[in-house]
Amino acid sequence: MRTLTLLSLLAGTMTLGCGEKDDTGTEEADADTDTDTDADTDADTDADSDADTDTGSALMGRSGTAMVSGGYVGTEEFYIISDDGDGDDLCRVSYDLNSVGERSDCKICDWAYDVEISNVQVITDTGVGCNLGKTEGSDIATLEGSVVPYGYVPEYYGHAQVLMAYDGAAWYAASFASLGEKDDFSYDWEVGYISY
Amino acid sequence: MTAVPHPQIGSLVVVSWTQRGDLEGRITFQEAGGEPLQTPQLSFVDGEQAEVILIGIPFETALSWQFEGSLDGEAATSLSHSTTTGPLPEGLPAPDLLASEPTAWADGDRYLLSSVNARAGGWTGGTFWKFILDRQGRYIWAMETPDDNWSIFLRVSYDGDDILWDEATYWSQFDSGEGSQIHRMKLDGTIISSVAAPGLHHAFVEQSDGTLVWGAADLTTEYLRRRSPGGEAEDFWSCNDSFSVDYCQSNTLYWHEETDTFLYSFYTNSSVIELDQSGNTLHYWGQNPSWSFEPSSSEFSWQHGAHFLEDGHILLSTHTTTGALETVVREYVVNEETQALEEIWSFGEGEGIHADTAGEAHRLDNGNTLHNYGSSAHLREVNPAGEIVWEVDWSGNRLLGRSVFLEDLYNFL
Repeated sequence: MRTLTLLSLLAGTMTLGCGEKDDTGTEEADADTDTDTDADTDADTDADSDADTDTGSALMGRSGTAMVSGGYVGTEEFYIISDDGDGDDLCRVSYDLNSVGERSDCKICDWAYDVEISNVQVITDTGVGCNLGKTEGSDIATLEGSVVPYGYVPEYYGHAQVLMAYDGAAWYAASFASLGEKDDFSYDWEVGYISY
Repeated sequence: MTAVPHPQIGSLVVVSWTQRGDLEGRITFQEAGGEPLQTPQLSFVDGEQAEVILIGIPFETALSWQFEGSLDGEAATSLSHSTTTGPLPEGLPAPDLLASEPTAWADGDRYLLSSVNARAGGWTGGTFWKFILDRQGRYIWAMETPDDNWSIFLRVSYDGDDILWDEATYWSQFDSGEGSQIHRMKLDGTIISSVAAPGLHHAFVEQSDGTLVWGAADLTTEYLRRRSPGGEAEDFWSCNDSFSVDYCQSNTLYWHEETDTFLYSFYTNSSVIELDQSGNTLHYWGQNPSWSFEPSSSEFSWQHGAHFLEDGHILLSTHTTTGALETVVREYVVNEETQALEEIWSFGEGEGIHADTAGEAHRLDNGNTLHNYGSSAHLREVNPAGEIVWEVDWSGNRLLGRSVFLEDLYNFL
């Protein structure tokens, strides 16, 4: 069983995401070996490492539901949706999440677990989509058996229910969440925007 | 002459033409049955490419317009033209006008600038819209904030020429507000400047010299942070140095120009402090045993929008602490002798409206009070007797941002 932090699983998207666009400068201002001005080594002018020039922006995220009575039993879908989330699925992968251990290091959490990913199923893969996820640090081929830490804060700064995640060094608020009276838990974690 | 909806803000109509001869005057325009509106005085010389924006008409509304003035010194009036503003933006939640007493309004309180989350659910993620309503509760201007970032503290710039709006990432990207910005903008969407405001999660002010000041939170505490034009951000107050609390977060910041001090409101310990520019605490109300509330039932609870009125009173919106849980307006006299905040006016008790989060109150020029119910997405203007003279509701628990009345929209073009 491997323990993956969210940074290694997904968080490349957090730094590359958030609406990075193609650069259009005419001078080579970066330090790499290609002829464009971005920081990667391909010949195009966008920020990713593939050879094409990006034309769109997609929303990457993960939404899930679970029962959290004494453990974490749920499912999650990893998604990449074109047109900033308004278009078609470019990639959608579902998997089960089951707790394999309780965490006590999230001091503000009501509960926190290491949850293991299993039963990975590709629902949609346009070729562009899931490869894109791979280049952004979310390789679906490595999901099976990996473990992510999830936690829950009922009133994050007195305001809202929040899903907590762990980046390998510290817990952080990942997205709004909802915990129902019957221990039904849900969230839609919009990780960021990526160019494609 | 051509007249088309503005490409980004469809309620604006852009009239353009090539001028022949020297022209001075105004464009007057109105919707059917509506109040006549007019542009400021215009002046175009022969050969000039003229462009004028008409503002004040709701989306999806037919209007007529014509030029009235002089051409080469001779009185001139153009033919009457007609056009229709663009469609209401998709996803913008429509409010209901519940009460309207025009004779009770101040002349200058014509339009309301505010923001609303399109998604219901209280303090939750979603798409925030900045908007301007007319007194009929109709959108006459609206702009979406990108990337689901938060705009909840719109205000007019100190010089009165621009709209300042927050694009906060604290609750959209959960990045401790590292990506938060404050924009200075014209109503045609032209961004005059964008200033990085790291840590911004809720409130900010602009001082007379253009310095921006905001509450900057991280995961443990909060700092009062400022940035002068062109300068670096600097912290001049820390919550950990002032309060013995587990965590600290604010919801209002108000700059009182007369004394060059700040009122700074914290929901996390139901307190308001007054600070000077050096970060010294001049007053501490709320969880401070040295100051009392008269009556005691008027104490702060999840208070928002604290600010000084011209007479030195404090006005704010707060939760009740006794009886039914409601959101009410309270006005206090600051009695230095008795060290008491003495409530002298309130509104809202028994009205049955409660907002989990946010809210504020403004005293208007005619003595009326505008109560913004925050996450109850409800606005009420009441007269001093507590009679409702204007009421708008978005239904559900959508988060409503700071709100302020505007008089002349052409000040912002």
